[in-house]
Amino acid sequence: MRVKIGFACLLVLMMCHPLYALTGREIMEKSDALTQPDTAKSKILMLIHKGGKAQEKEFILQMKKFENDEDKALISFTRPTQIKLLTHSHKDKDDDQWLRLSSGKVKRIVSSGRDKPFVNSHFYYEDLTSIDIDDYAYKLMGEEKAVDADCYKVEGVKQVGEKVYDKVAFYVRKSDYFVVRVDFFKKGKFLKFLENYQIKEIDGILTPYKIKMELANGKGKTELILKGLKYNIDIDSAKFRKEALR
Amino acid sequence: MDRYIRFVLKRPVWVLVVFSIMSVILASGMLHLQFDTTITSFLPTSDIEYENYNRAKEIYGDCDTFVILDITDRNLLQYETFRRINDLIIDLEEFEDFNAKRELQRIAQLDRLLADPTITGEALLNHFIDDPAFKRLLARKFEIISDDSGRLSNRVKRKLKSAVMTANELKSGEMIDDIISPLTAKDITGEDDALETIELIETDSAGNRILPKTLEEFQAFIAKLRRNPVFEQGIYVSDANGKITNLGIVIRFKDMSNSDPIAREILEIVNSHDELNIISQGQPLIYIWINNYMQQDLSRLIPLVMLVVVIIFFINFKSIRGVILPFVTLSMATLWILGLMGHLGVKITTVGTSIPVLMIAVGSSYAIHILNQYYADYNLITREGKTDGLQHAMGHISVTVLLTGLTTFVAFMTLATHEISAISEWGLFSAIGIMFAVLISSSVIPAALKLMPHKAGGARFSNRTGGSSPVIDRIIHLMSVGAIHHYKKVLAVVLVLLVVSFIGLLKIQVDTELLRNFKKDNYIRTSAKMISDKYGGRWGFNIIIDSGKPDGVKCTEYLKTVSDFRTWLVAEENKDLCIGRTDAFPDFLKTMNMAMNNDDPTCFSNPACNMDIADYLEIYSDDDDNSDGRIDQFEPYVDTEFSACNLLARLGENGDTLLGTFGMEHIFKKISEHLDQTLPPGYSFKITGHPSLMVQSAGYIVDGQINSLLLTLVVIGIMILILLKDFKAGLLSLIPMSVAVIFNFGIMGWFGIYLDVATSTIATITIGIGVDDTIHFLNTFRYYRNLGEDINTAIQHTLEVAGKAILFTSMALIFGFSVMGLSTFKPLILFGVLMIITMVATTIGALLVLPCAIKLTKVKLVKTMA
Repeated sequence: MRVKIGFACLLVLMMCHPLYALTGREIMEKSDALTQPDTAKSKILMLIHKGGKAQEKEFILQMKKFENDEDKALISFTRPTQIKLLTHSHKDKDDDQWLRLSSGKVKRIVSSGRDKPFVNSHFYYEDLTSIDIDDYAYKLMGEEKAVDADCYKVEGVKQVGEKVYDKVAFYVRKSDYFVVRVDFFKKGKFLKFLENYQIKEIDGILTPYKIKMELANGKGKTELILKGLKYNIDIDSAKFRKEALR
Repeated sequence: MDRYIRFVLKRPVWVLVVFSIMSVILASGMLHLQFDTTITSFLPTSDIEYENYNRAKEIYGDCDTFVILDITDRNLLQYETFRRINDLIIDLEEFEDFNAKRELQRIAQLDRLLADPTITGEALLNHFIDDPAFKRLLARKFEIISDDSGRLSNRVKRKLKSAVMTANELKSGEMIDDIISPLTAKDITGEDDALETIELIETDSAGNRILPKTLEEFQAFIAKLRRNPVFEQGIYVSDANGKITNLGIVIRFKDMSNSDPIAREILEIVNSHDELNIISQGQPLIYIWINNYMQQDLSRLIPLVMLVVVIIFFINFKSIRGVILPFVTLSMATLWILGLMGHLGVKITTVGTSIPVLMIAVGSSYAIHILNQYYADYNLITREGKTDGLQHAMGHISVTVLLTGLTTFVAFMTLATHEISAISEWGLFSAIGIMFAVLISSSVIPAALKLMPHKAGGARFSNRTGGSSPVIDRIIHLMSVGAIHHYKKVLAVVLVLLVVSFIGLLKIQVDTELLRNFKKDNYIRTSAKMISDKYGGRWGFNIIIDSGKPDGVKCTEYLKTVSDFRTWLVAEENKDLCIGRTDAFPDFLKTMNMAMNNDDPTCFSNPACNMDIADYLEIYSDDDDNSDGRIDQFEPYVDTEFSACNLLARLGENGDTLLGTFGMEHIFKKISEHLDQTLPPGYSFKITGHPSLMVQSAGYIVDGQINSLLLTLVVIGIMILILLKDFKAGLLSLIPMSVAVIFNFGIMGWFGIYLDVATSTIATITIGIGVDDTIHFLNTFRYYRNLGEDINTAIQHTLEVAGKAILFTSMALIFGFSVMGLSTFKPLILFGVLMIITMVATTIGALLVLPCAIKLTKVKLVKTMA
């Protein structure tokens, strides 16, 4: 069982980066250098499709960049529960996470379970963390079509650190170097894939309004639908304090 | 039939060649014979309860089937013991998570090494020193194949590779769902306001368990183990002083519809870790043990039974052909039927293992009657010449054999519609086997006799003027006197015996409890008791409590209902329920609740409000491999709608007494009554699982037994009525069989022999043999009546001819089956005893009761059957 609720980098998924180089490594470096918002607030509908049924969850995600390249994020579920999760992402050490139950009880989440699903969806905690460019060795595999777009296919093979996936394959849209699809491989097996849809430019940042994570065997998928989004707005830093959870 | 016999006698070589070829073709099927030790063959598969069970299995998996390995050691909580336990668990885990890439590499390396003509067993194992799990697998397979660690022969290499590939295939099936043990368990802890998922034994980055070594590390481990109440009696056991004395490994399975290979593999793994003191128990293992006992003893005893039968044939016939021909007939019939089952892919169940015994009993009877006719008509054959004489003799007896075969065929076929597949298959294939025996004996024996020199045996026992066996003659004489002069007294005694037997019949208890098959001091019984005492039960059943609405489980009212019920189940005043432990979905929520309250043990309770339940389920995140909406850990306990919970109750024993079907029936009844009274409106419940199906199957055994006996008697009565064209004769024919069956059941009742799947076939065998004897007697009796003899003389002569053959066959089989007493396996001993009783009862029925009844009714019987 895993209870860690990691989510800080959910927005990273929501803001896939344009890429414009011809080698795998260069593409990823350029991607890494893209502009990101200082703050973000979004309302997200999560649709978990399992066993022929769709379960709805809704949450508000607020994120703010702090000094030393550290991010803080607060996710507040509005349904089916009112739990809140606060994550402080650090550059050189494990993230800190706190959980607030609907009853007001607050607990610090200690363990990490990166290969475990996030709130029983098809996203792993690993999918919600930021990817360091040096974690993978990249190779341009060729050109392929994905999500109705001509793409470069860049393969990333696990290079350093403990990663859930041995290999990932990025499909980078040729027109604007935007990642439209990612294939995830675990223990040599094609496990699942992520696709970005309804990509719009918001305040100069390309943002998919719908993300789908689907199992390779087709047995289930989770969709994230952006119901509202604001970048670079003023969010009180106090909101991201542990004490504010109570 | 006459035309067929004419053909056989005209082309005897052809017949023997064709039958030999047929034997080779069919016997080759024996190489494909498989045994079915799964419980399904004993269950009423079309029953509504079985459908419920399957529905529950679809939702909750095969969760009521598990294996418990109990480990105890003087130095239990020490590194060295833990290292050994860890090795055992690693070996089991190989069958839980299949790593295709790793297995391919292993097999490629094994192939390379086996290609070396000089490789030795020891060198081979040493090559896998860095892969200890695979090395251990090779070592245990190697141990089974060969005890020579020197240079590997090509045969050993082939066998080893085949064993590894079989294990690999089993691994790829990932039949093990979960291995729950102190070394693999995980928990949630919430000390100091920190919520943490922990492994009781932590793992390093490569996934290897870091075993405790120092005293402090063990103390820390024990503290973790004791923190969660769920673990006690689940994966560890303490003594009265609170000292941990046993560690348990519970193995759960995904789908046990074919449990045999994985259960065998688990036993093999356990046996290979003989440095650990392991007691293993579980329903899948019991089936394996029963099967092993059956196969070992049957393969040892069947040849012995045949040998004894053959020796008695020789003593009586004093001729080689008198031994060889019946022996060839019954061997051929056995090979044909078992070979056919192999070719058709029909697996032999535990009941099916009695088919060779049946073939011996009935097959030898056909052969003996045919051979008997040859000797009876010896002078006629001499007079008329071999071909015509044999045609005359064989034509007459073959018709009788065909008729007896047909009636026996019908008797067995009535079982083919039985609800329990093990019995229906037994009925079907026994019936086919009977026809094989008829065909073979009516073809091979006449053909062989045609080719053999016409020679009288040393003892023409059928010659009514000069019997050679004083014992048989004496018995026949007594029968004659009894039937002719004291028939009223005899019938009165039989009537008294029948009344006594009938009282015994009413005492018969039906029991499908498998442990009943083993003696009290047998390891299987003692280990079952030990596991029951320590872990709250040795097997389990499901009690499904449905709230009647989606997400109804996520509600405090529901959780309280389940909690109260669980408390009631294990309460002191309900000790008769024999439930020592229950596992249920609320345990996860209780664990979470305790963690959310700083590991306060008093908070190991249901969450206080529905909101907390919803929150806990939201953050209790884990794999959901089949993406059905439940995390994998919840699957055995809750449905996908979260409307119903499956409560797993572990069922133990009632002190030193086995629960048995009756005990289980009482338990289910009491639970049902309690739930009927206590469940809130809108709630419903179902009880299912193997124990519940065992109770159900007991009902089917009784119903099936009654139905098949009645049907058989009616069909046989009608058949004989048509054959003899005499209503009285039709009724009379039922007397010997009915007497034998009632006598048989009476003995079972008085001596406490339970009616179960295996013993229920005895009644049909009784009828099979009884009908043969009856037809032989009646046919011979009619023959002499047609010659103008009066009833007394006809009875006298019938007893001297048919009676001797019947008695002679019975005696041979009685001695033959007494060999079963040498078995160490209770059901086989009982089977032997019941077969002897059957032989005695059918013989008395045919040779004493039937002539007495003829005498009493003065039935005429004037036209010949054939």
